[in-house]
Amino acid sequence: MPTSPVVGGVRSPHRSPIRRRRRLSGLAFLSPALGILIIVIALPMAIGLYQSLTNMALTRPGAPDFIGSTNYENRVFTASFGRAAGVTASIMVLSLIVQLPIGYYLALCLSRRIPASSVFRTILTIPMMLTPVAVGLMWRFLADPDLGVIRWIVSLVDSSAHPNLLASSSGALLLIVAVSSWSHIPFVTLMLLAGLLAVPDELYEAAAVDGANSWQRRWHITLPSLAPVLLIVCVLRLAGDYRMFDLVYTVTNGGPGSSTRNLSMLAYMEGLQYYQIGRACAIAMAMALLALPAFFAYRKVARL
Amino acid sequence: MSVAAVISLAPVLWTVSTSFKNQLEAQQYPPSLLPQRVKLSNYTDLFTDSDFHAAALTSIIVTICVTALVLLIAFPCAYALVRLNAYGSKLVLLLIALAQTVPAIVVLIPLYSTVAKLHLYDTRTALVLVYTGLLIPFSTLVLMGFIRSVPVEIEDAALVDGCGRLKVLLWIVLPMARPALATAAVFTAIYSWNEFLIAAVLGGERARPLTVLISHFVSQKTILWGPMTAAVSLVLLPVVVAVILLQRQLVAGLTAGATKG
Repeated sequence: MPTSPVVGGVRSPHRSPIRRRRRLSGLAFLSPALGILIIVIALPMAIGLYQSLTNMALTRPGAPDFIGSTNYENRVFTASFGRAAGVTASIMVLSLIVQLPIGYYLALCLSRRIPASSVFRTILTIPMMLTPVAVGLMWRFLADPDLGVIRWIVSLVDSSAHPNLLASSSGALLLIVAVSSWSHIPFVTLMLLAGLLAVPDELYEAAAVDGANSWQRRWHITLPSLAPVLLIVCVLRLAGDYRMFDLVYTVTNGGPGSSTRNLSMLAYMEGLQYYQIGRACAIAMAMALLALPAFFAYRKVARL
Repeated sequence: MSVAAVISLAPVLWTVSTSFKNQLEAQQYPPSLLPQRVKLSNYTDLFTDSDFHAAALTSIIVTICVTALVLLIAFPCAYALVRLNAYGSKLVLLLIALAQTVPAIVVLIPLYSTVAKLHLYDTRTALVLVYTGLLIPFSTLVLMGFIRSVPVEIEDAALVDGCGRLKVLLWIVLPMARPALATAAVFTAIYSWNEFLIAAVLGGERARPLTVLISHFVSQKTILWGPMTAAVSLVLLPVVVAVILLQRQLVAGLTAGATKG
């Protein structure tokens, strides 16, 4: 088979300049993206690091003073930061525990080519894409202690019950986990469904010929084939719930008390309600550091 | 499966149903399943409200500008990353991974004071710029996945024929990439329509999209459920329509393996 001498790997003395020209034109193609990413990601993080070492506050006129690690001592290594980190971790872990099994089960159902499966798929896609703020408000309404539909459903079972999820710390936390699950299970389902459909049928047929029962097939074929997708789903879901803001803001606003105040809420309140930019930046920098494991895991699973 | 479908839809339908009730019925307990008399006043009130108009306009303008800009910037970027081994690739990929894993609030607080200094606070320009920057990674990943999947031979043939890289990009890759571009566009548009935190931090009274406007309903002492459910329904409507019409593109984009968290 004849190969083109120009592109087909023949080493000519001109190869290196050609490659350099290609890499340079590539730089031209990606420079707008690079520029805007530096402006909205790299620079703000550098500025944030600097500001976290100052007493900058919008309530105080004049230039901010450099105060070293004071903000970290007063805002990061504190009980309230620890509590917010705990809330964040609880939401992440509980959500994953709820979302993975249900998402997997639904993906299995959809992969069996049930009737009207495309209708189901569309219906399942809807919660995933809906505006988080609107979803939060919707659930705030459903969970309203006085006239919410959740109270009504509970009262059908036990007419004396008057549940008020929003007034108890564990109730509010569970409500947030439930809302997050409601909107993100579809994502887990569709990702795992794509993974399931990518497993070649021949593998199952061969296993059936060898006399493997359905559990063995699931354990030795389905699960290993799904592992990469499962890993991506876990990383993305954990990163997504780590940064969660809209849902907390609208469903509980961090309450009751500070029982559902996660790290994003904590940083937001410090910066945009108290205008303590320096302190808020210290919290933000700590959040960035805590996101590092997700960052490395993401680079690995997404091969970036 | 049917149970899952009901649980997916019921909260939305319930919200829509409440939006057609009058004030009295919306606040009554036990709630009625369907409005006793369909009432449109919650909607007509919104349509005549100038704040709502301004917010809707901001949402629409920002969504359109961001979608156009993101595609314009992400497409050549994705091509350069996959095919050209470009200088700066490593840095771009690093920043993309950062954008996907570091919470937005981390960059937004420093941006808040910076944007204020540049007199861009509470402008649509600032919103468009920051939305674009934070949404470029997702589209770039979707487009990279697509470009990787098409054979490089066609491009090579064109290069041998003396086409420049830009011509190859515009005349050969672009037409083939149309489905992937559509997917990226749908996601970008929905994500910018849905975006809340960026606008809550960088926008005030003038550059206020619908998401921020409706969030004010819960900060009031008594929540007016009728108007709130109507506003929520209006915000969700375009998304639901988009999902129903474009479900295939959405699932394709999702399973391209790259997704915003």
